[in-house]
Amino acid sequence: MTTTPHTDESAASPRERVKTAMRHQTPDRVPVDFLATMEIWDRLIEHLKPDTTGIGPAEYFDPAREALLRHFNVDCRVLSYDVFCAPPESLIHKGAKVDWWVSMNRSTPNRMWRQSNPDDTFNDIWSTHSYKMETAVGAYEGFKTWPLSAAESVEDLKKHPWPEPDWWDFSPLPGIMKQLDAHEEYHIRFRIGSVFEIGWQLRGLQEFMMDLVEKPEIPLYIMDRLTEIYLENMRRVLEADAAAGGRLDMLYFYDDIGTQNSLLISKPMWREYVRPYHAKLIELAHQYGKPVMYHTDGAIYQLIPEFIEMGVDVLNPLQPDAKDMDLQKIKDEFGGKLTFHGGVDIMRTLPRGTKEQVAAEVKERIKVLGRNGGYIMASSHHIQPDTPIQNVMAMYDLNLR
Amino acid sequence: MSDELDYSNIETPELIQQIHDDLYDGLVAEVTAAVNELLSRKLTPYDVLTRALVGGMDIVGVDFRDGILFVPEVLMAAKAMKAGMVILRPLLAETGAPQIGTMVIGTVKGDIHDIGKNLVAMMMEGAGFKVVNLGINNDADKFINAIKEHQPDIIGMSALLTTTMPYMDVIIKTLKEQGLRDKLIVLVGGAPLNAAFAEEIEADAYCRDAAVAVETAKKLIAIRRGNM
Repeated sequence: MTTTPHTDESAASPRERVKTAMRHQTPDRVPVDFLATMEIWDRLIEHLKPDTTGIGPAEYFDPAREALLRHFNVDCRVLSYDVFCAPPESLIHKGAKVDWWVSMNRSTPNRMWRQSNPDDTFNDIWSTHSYKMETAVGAYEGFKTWPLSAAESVEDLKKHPWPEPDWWDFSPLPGIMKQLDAHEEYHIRFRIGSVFEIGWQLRGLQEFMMDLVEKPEIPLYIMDRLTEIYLENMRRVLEADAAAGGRLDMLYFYDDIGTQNSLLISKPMWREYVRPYHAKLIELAHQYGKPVMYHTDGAIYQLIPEFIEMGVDVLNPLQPDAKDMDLQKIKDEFGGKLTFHGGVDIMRTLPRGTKEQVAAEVKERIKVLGRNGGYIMASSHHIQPDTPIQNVMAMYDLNLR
Repeated sequence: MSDELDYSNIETPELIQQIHDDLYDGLVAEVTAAVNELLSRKLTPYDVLTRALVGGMDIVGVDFRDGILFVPEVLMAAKAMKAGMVILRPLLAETGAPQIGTMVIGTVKGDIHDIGKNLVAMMMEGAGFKVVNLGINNDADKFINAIKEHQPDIIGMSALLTTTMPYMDVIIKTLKEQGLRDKLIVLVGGAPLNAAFAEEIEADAYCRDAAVAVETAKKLIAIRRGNM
């Protein structure tokens, strides 16, 4: 970790490295990504004091975090829709203020739009309503209320302050990519959002689940509205990017559909109510020639063939402790058609293992998932605040790749 | 809709079977009507509870465990079960029917993830237990106060995060300090847990899903009451 190999002429650029892996060819070394909770970012930055010379300005992303990614030789970068929120004044509650840096969900260097209310709760651009909850080792966000929980009809849902495409201004995107990455070295993906998850976060999980059986018109209306916005946002992002030379490498969306042991909803229900939305997002990205990365936690083995059919290019995060998530088997069966991203266990190995156990797991993942490319090494979710930073540093030891 | 449901021509065993099917399909009006019909035939409230509702929810629990039913269907079944319980609960109290048991359940401090815990609560109710659901983010005091108030046989603790699950140990230590631990069956669950963790913190059992929680609760209560 003392060298910066992407400046070494013999090494591929991080961007080429990721692209090579995604072509299912063996790159010069396995590309990596980094996802962590606030506390882990802060502790690593405090401990390692990564050099921020030449990084910035700090309007859209935190230079110290970007410096940490460079310190760990991380190949991937993310820009998200919530970096670009520009909603009308009418959305801001009385006494509330916009705060770009306060979200506990801020797991990348990016800023993230939030309004902070006087009662210490937060709203995002969709008007989900959350609050901060402390634990012994770090803070998390929970939902305070669900703005659509009382809706009884589609008419009620229409009254929600649904964001409109003009609530975003993507014009700074090409400039930010230049600030972040002057030499076009990194693999940059754009984060679109989620359909099912933000949907239930607006309605309440149990209500949303029961609606799927009893009153599907409710969740379908919510997911329709969200998908319409995503599609228009994507068009605008991809057009802005195309006009600036097509620098963006990939589109990314997330929607957890798995539990530890099974799926949240049945396969037929998923096919009827969730898959069509995802398929539309993927189709639009592919029309612009961009690959798509999809995130779902949990025991999703049985859906992988359908993800491939829908055109998912990269699947994150392969939660190794979930039922039937046998990584060797998944690589053997699907590795020719899908690139995997993630896999290093955040539940046991990273928080409770030794440095040696972390290193052994990284080696094992690279051996199994990295065969013939097709693997981007990362944790199986955001690295949690109970993880010793020595274990994180062990995970990103360049010698393991 | 319930006005149109006429179960008077269906024999009792078939009607019990019908309730099992209607619970499985989450049909509130049908379950309500059938429970009323069985009560009018002089079945005791306890018989209606155990043979019709608990019997039906058993099937739901098994199919949830086996990946045949999923969260939405289980929530609907629980809703139908609750509709039946609204009728039965006052009658059970009046008739002094035997208590299956009481559980106090909650997600531990710092953890907001409650769908799994709620499913356990619903399936426990489905098995005839009285359930006091404390919701999310419960510190030791909240558990202790609820234990003193409700005198449960069982407490259930849930956590989704590795960062919040250690708090279960704090709660169990507090129970010991207050001399409450031995009176209680302590069940724990949640994605990052396993049997070794349960043993380490001296819980009575780790339950990997709602169906296992019900089976374990029934078994441990039977042992406590000397029935096994």
